[in-house]
Amino acid sequence: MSSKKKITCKNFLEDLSDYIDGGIETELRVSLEAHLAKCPNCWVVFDETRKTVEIFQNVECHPLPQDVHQRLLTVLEKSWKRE
Amino acid sequence: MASTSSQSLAALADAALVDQARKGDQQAFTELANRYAAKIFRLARHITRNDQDAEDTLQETFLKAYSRLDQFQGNSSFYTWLVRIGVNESLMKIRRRKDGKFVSLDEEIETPSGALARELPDGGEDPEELFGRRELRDVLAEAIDGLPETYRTVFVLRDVEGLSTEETAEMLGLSISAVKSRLLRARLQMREKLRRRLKTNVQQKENYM
Repeated sequence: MSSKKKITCKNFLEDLSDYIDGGIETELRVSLEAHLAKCPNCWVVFDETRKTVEIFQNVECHPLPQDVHQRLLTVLEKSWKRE
Repeated sequence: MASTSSQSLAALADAALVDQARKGDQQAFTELANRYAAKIFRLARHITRNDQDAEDTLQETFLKAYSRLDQFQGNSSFYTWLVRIGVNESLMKIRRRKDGKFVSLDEEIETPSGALARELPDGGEDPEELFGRRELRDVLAEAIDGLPETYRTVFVLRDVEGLSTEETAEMLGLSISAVKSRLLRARLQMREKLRRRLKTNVQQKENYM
């Protein structure tokens, strides 16, 4: 392993979120990836967590119902009439 | 005052619409409401876990934003400013509920049926695909609903609304490290809830690394 810092599973978990978001320094990233390459358990946790985060970017859980949208516009118009 | 046509309003950036709305152009504010209503509704629904509270929050957020337009400094984007109001309104809703009049927050999980029927698009999509998407949407919504409030709010702001750690911290009055640790816990809990659907296979590792 070329990196200086030895990463344990516990260390890996602590940095998992930052690693997924990409906001991490190169040296630490290299160490984390070295750990990932030899630890199947951490790899599964990483992969599933990454997919969990990604899935929410593609699926709209609560689309705005048209009647709710319409009532919002009605409420705004009413408030402007009272001004 | 005379308002600009809705077509030309649609071409304007948020900041220009805010300027016009401040001068009394209500159509400019309506355009802003049309742009962000869906996002504020989603945010409010995730935090309050209740359709009616989400609708009330949506209306209160835009009424408040309109009445406070003069306070909008332009340091942040209009959307971030709006989200801040929406988060505060949503949190006030659940605090009020916690004060006693309603069912305990952590026991109440709404079933997603009912509300979903009217959300079906007009057609054009393959029915099987549509069912698959609806089903997944329900699973995801229920998974978020099941998170404790402190994790849920951070997860929604970061991973659903896409705000930065710094923005989330500022909005919720938390330290950066508190946001990070709550986000990690929320993500790990969400992973537990969704893992059967994610079907990770260790074999896939070879493809990724």
